[in-house]
Amino acid sequence: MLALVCYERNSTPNWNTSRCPRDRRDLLYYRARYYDQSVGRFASEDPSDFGAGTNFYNYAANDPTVFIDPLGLWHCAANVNCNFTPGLKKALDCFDKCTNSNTLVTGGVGKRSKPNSSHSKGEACDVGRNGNPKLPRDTAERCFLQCFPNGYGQEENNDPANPGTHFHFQENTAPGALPRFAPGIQPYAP
Amino acid sequence: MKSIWVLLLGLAVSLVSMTSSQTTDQSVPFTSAGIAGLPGHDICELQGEFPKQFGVYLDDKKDHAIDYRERDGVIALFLLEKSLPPKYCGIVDATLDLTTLRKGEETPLFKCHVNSEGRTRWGQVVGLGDNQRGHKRFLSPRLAWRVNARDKRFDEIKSEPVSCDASGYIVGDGWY
Repeated sequence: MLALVCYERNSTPNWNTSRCPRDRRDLLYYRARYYDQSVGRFASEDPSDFGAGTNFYNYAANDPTVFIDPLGLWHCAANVNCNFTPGLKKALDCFDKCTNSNTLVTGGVGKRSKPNSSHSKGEACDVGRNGNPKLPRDTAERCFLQCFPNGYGQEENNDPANPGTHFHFQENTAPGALPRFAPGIQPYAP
Repeated sequence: MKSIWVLLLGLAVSLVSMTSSQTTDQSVPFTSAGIAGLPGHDICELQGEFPKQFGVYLDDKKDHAIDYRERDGVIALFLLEKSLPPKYCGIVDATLDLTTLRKGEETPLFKCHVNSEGRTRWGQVVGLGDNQRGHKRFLSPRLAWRVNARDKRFDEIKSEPVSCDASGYIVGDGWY
């Protein structure tokens, strides 16, 4: 059992992840990476090469109010099944590094997955723009290019009950299509 | 012994030719002038990276593909021969510079067909239209072209009604 001790004066722990502010620049040390509260992102490399799976972050995913994970890597929104293939997990690790952000995955192997679809096979995920307000499309496209060399991506409308759009990333391209990201925004088409 | 040397020499020659065919000097600027001069050259000769890039194959053999590129306000479609992994390069047979043709938020559409002919494969008929940022799935493109791989050109469709489906390119794999 590890005890949480904060040595610095006037410092308080971040109870979401039980870590202490480390210096005057409000850098929090999350086991392996520094999180800069002033800019809302991580200031150092993450250790994703250790190959930790999403189960490691379950405590963050299970609480809808807590989306910060211990290592500052991509994570899943509440009730999202992120039982992804190793290839998609690796691509998302890369995407996180590229965007220097803590990507919130808002759609995975969902209830609506059709048989043999990329979602049902764990090869695709959705990244909602409402849940990732600091992820502009240009950045998403650039990092998709880098991290999904054989994948397919598009920005599509949410279902009518949830205004907005999300990015759909899949590990493999669609049959008949070259890899990369489709132009424009695609409609909701269940 | 002699035959082994001949074999090794042949292997070396093919390795050199493979390497040279995959190496392209990125010397062509992605401008309207650069695009116009690209037919006959490899598309990988275009300078720089293209985060905005996509394409569809016109046939099962993947002999031809339509490739979309966009950067710095310049947007174009390319008819390519043998655009295959890992680099998806390919000789440019024809170009369609959309830079001055596009209006507002129009995007290229690859799932189009001439109404009187019924649906066809992706990329056989391409269009330029506005699907209102994903609020419209089916639309009549403002401009449309038939991709003529045999004669290596884009033929504008002027007098026949065309429809496009903007629902994306994962239909074959199933929507979630």
